[in-house]
Amino acid sequence: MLGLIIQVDQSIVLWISRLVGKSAILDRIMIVLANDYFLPVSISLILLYIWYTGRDYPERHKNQMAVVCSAITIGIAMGFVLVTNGIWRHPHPFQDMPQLLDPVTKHIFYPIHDPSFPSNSSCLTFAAAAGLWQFNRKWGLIMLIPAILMPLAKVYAAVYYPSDIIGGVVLGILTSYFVAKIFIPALHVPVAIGVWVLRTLRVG
Amino acid sequence: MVHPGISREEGRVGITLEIVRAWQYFIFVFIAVMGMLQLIATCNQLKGMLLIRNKPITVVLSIAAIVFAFWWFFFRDSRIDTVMRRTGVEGAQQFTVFCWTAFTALVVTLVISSLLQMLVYRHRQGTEQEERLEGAYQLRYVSWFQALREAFRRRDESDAGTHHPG
Repeated sequence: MLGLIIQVDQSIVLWISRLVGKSAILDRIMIVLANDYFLPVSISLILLYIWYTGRDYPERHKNQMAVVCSAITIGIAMGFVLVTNGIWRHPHPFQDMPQLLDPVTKHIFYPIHDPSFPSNSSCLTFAAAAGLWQFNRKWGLIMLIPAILMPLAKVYAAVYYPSDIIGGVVLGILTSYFVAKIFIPALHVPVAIGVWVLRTLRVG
Repeated sequence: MVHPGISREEGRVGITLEIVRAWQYFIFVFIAVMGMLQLIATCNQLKGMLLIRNKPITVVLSIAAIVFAFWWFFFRDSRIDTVMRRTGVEGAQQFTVFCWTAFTALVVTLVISSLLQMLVYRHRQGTEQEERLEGAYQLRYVSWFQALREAFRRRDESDAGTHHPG
């Protein structure tokens, strides 16, 4: 089963990587989408915008909860990625297929050092989108666009296999459910205790 | 130590390679966040956070600031052809720099807008019906300095037992 997945993964990466170098415009777009700065900063700016948006108090509160859920989901999901990386070190496509290193990976991105599975960029972007989705469907759907584009660009650059991306996506989405259904509701208890302590001490 | 994204050979022979530095990332984020905050302020009528109280001009300037920040960071000097294919500021460092820069941009915006309110826009306030708003939405009617003063006044009244909410 694992052998079949690896075979399918490699075929898809080889097929997509054939597009590299064919169109200068497509390559440029993928360089912009794949790099470490463009989409993470764009996503952060969108989250900042959502924080302040809303016609009335209930809508603003819903949006702010969506941003909080998204931020917590990103943090916890990144922790899960670190743990998974420590358990299983899966090689990148450019390591399994060194012929892709110079013409594909170094042309679009750079050979990264951390393990391939699960893809941390897909986990981050989908954690942001799924975290928003838990409280605001509209913004969650909008955030899906950068969430899909960044991992797609990474596959184009032969940095991740499709299965690494799927692993990251599943981890990000599951983490968002954990945060929205378990973590945030459970936060009410320590927050209430903290408020009571502060009021008792007349600090807040 | 060889930086991630730079091969050992490149590091060993000492080739000067331009990578994204934290200060470049700081400037990029600072300008983009300042632009975004002005866009937010004008879209949500947070007059206490506006630097220019003219909606069309603010919208144009804030979008221009965001576009300029992205252009400067990604496309200046063909940076997209070289620098963007390397790392430079690592994930955790990126997160820390982003948070501090966004916070700095927010404080700078609030301080400048409050000073403008005190020195330039004094005569324009007090025409709207003031409603009791909490958090950032107080900035619809008052500057940040005024909101802080009001918060401290309410707290003092509450401590003295003279505050009657509602």
